[in-house]
Amino acid sequence: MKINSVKYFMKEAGRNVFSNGWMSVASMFTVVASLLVFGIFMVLALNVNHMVDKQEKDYEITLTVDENCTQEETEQLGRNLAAVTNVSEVIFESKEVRMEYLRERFGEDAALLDAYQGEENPLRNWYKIRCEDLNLSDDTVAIIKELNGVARVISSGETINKLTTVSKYISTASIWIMLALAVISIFIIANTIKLAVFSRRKEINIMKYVGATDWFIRWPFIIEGMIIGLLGAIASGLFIALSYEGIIGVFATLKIAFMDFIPLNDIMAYIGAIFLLMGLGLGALGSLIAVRKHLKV
Amino acid sequence: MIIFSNVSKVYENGSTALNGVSFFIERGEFVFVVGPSGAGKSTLIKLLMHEETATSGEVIIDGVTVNGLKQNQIPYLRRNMGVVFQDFRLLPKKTVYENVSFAMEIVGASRREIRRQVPTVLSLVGLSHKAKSFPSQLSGGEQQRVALARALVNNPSFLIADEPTGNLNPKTAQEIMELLNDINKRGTTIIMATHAKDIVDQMKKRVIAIEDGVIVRDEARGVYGYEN
Repeated sequence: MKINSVKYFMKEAGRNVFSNGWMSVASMFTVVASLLVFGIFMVLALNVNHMVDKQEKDYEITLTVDENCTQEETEQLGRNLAAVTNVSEVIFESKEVRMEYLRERFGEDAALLDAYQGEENPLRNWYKIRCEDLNLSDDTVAIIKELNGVARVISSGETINKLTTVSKYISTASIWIMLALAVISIFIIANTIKLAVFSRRKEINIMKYVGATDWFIRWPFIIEGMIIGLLGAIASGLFIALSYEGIIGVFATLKIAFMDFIPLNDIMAYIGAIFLLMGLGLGALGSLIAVRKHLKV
Repeated sequence: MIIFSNVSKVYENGSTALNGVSFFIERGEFVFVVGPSGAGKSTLIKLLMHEETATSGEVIIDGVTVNGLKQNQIPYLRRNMGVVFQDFRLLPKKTVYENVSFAMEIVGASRREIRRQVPTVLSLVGLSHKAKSFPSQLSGGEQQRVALARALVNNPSFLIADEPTGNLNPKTAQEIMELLNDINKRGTTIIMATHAKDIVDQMKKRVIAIEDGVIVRDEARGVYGYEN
């Protein structure tokens, strides 16, 4: 493709976007709407997956040691735990250490816990266990429950299962919603480009007589579609970025245990790239559909 | 050189526009195609432009059989042909200069070539001083000159003119014909379909007369031969 022609395409495309004014804006908004809905689902899916990953990595079975156990019995329990198949790591935390953690969590209000020091400490010693294979964790929990000196087993398996199910639903839903919205966007862009083609049919006719190739005639319209798609992608990307920043800010103050969000920069690098590709792709595809029929002279 | 060899054109609705037409046109000739309305003149022009393809027979332009051309080769055929129409077909929102330079942009000419060539053709058609005007500010004759400039700017070997004087008063038509004659003298082959008896009779060029899709007359230095 000649550089002169590229300049010409850009100039023509830019002019079309402006002369089509409100139709261009309207199609841009359909792209924005589609990408926004898609983006919301994608952000959800990515974050839920991220949380699942994180939970799996941090997955621990916690078991509290019966307060009647002696030091000896507690240590024996630790050795027994290590011997259980599928257990990769055993960590002991005494009730004194746990009280320290608790005081840290309470921060300025730590004084409230002053009454529970030393002999008055109501907490139990506990062990944390990591598994080699998470899928077998239910069996492992069953074995551990039977060990001597175990008061209670706390496993976060439930949360993980729920999160995994949710993430699957969200992923599937986002794919279908995106497909539907992509089709709608393509047709609305195609419609705008059709108007552009129609309003310039005389010009196209003359171009054909003078010997313009079909691709030469198509390019400005394709670029026009891509500009619309690109502007839509940028607008929706910015919107998602700003909302995401706000929302994770709110959640961060809530401090919900398993709510761990992907940082803004990481998610925007990912979504930004996908949005740009989708915007350009939707625009180009819409235009191609629009000009396909209108080239016969 | 243009060769029509036993060319017939039957449209999809069944009407026969051309029926076994044969002729050839040498490089540098000036040919009038005359005949009553509906005789097949327009079809002949359309076959030359490859706007339509022949149902049977062969159309050969500069050694290329155009019947078999693929869609993507047609533009290159057309670049070798300038074309002007009765209704000028200028772009109203572009200036005279832009209407002409547009034809060069389409074939990918550089800005330098455009800057050199457009003023040259504009002066050839005598419109240098109107370069910045818009078509609506021009007379019919001037508009047709712009169309001619656009047709010639890429230096085509052939100029095809479909009733170029049809919308012009006799005096202006006369001027356009003089211009066409000049262009022809510079070596461009001209094929002109027309109803203008006076012009044909006066120019004394080759005349191909078509009636009901058949060539009824083909003579050098001919006359129109019909009563208007």
